[in-house]
Amino acid sequence: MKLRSIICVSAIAAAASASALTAGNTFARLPVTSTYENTLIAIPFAGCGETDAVIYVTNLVMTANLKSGDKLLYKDGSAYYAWQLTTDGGTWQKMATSTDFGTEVSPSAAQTTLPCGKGCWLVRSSATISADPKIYLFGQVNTGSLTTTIPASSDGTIVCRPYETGAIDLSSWRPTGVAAGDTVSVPDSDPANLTGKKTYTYKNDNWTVQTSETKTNKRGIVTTTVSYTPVSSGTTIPAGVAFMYGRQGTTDLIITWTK
Amino acid sequence: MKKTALFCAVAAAAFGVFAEDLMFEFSSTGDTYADGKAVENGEVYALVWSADGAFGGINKDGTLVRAGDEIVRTSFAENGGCFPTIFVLDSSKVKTTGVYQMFLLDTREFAADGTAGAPKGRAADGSFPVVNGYSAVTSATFKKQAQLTENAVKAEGAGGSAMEFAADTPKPDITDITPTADGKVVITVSNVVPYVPYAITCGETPNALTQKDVASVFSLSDGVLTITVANPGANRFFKVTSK
Repeated sequence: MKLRSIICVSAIAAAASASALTAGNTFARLPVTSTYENTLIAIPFAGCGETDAVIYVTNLVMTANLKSGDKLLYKDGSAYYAWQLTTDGGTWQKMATSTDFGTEVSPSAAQTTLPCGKGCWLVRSSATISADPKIYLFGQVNTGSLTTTIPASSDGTIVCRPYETGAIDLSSWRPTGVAAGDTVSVPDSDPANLTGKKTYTYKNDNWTVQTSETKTNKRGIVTTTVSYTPVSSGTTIPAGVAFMYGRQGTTDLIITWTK
Repeated sequence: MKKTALFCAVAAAAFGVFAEDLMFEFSSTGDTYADGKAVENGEVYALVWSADGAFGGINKDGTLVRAGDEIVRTSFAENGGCFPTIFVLDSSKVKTTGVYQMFLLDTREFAADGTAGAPKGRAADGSFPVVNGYSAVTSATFKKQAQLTENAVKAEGAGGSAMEFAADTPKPDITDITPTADGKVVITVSNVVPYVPYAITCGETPNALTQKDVASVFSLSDGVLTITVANPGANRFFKVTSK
């Protein structure tokens, strides 16, 4: 008797939903505006379909508005991976990387997955940027909470907020476990080299801007005063943009993100 | 081989907060060996640093001739050129003086009959089983790449670079000269190797060998080579050189 009731309820539910079939996932096209030749782009998606719960290199960035010679680079620990377009709007082709550990050809872009919550470099020519400064990221939106791990005492892990919406407001962002001396760096200027960057240092429970002033007294003694000013409200890292996290803390930092 | 060098001079650098890496991109097409043959897949391209830009050369066993020169990174050939490669250098190890140059090596191993084998490349321990010669590469792009430091890397213009052979490559000797009935001169050369193009220079006096490249030929095998000078004219003195 009980079983019959359950079947009945299921049948009604099926009938009710027959007129409105709704996918269980949502896709996003996330535009990122950048005029930088080297842009740190986010990997804000964990999948590109319900049956494909990973993001491949070929999926993340739209190449239709990119040109031959543009490149995508990803660093995983000490390993580098690189791909480039050999035709305008084409597909990512393998490059080799030569490091202290030898010369390796990167795996196929179609078979290489990118980890949600990390970031990579998109290198575009000035011709690409002038034609369309926007970068389009594609993927299935995340809904639940997610974590990103930053190794202890590590320099420059490229990470991002793993959602297609919202921004990180550094004036209020306090990931659990953040340590004094941790740094966040974001590109600021100089599209050729990313040499222009803003670095914020965690000091006295705030992300701060470091400034230094050097004075010479009458005796010729030079003194430098370093001061840290908390960032102002509105200092944000927008969705789709990655940043570099320098970890001074001696334990891994596990950042829990919520939408 | 192509004759054009690409130089990358590293300007003064002030390293940033991060120990980030410098990246240089390099690729090339249409490269050839000294014997005119297209570069074989797997051949070695070497990023070389020298203090003065005058790379001292390589011995046949792959060791460097001049102390201080350094092979920093290597990549490989595919389809007649350097496979598109990003050379990653730890910024703390990047030289702030001197010159970085890109060279194509000839690491083919030749059989006794002069048949070229596949490139021996670079061994896992970083050594080179054999290096016949090296040449700066043209048709290439060599530029700075993504970085997050204050390092300033400047790619400079191209310059000329002559083909060079391994420093201990045997020097050819003329062992015989035979005039023929039809006015030609046949020169026998010993101590030759198959990957070097040889040429005859001649003149009317020993100190004025003004007629260059009157004949040239590749050796087909190690050992002995004959070169025929079809029109020696009044020239009586002959010298053999690598072309």
